[in-house]
Amino acid sequence: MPELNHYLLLSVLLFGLGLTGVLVRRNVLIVLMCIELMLNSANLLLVAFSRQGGGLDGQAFAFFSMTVAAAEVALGLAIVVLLYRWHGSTSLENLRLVPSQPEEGR
Amino acid sequence: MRPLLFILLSLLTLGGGLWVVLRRSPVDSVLGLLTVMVSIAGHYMLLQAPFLAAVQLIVYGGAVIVLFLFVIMLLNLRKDVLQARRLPAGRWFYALAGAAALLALSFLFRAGADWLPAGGLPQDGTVEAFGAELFRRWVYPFELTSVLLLAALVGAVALTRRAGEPGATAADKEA
Repeated sequence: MPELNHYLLLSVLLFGLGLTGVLVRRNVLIVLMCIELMLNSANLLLVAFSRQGGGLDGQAFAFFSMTVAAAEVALGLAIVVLLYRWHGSTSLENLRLVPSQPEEGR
Repeated sequence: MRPLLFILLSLLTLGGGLWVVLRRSPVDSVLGLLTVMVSIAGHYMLLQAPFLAAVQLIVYGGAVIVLFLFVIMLLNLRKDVLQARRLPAGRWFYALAGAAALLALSFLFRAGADWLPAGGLPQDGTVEAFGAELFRRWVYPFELTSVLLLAALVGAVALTRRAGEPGATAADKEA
């Protein structure tokens, strides 16, 4: 029977993967997917703690977290579409949302 | 058998996560994300939360993944997708992975009945128990989520509509 520790370890590893992806990858779609990985690791931990402590509170939290994540994905992907129209690419490499300072420009 | 199942699911989860982070093509990453979502649904089943497992499969495995794929298709990322390096033995790798998944699934279906707990199915997170909890204790947050989803819906439509052209559709732009 897997114990809480194992779920903690799995969840931390998955969160670390997601965080690494957000920091390392330069494709905005993959960055969004890595955010999903982190959200899922948190959900998994909520359900594991819920199982440990008895009751359904953790599961209810995970349920609401899923709802928020679904809304976040819908808006995030809408922003990706806007970004692609404006910037012509999904890469964050040469993206500059704020124009350069006047001193720099001269 | 439960520890074995846990280890298998964890390997799937972490492998899928690595796949998301390491693959160059967004389409490949979406498939890795799908693996993660499905394996986490399996984890929820192991944690006696069958309702959440179903929601995970429907919302994440269905809606979110399809949304990602739709956006990739809409953006027409031909360059990004085609420039992605294939695995050296890509075709054989996928064939072997598919065969392994099929074997594992048939094994699961054969042996699944033996792994049920002695007292029958879990009573914790069934639809009935979860629904009772949700509509008693969490009823206000639950109703608030409908506002949140509506806001997300309206926001997504408002964001992606072309500015200065109220009611214009993509077909109008083409004409």
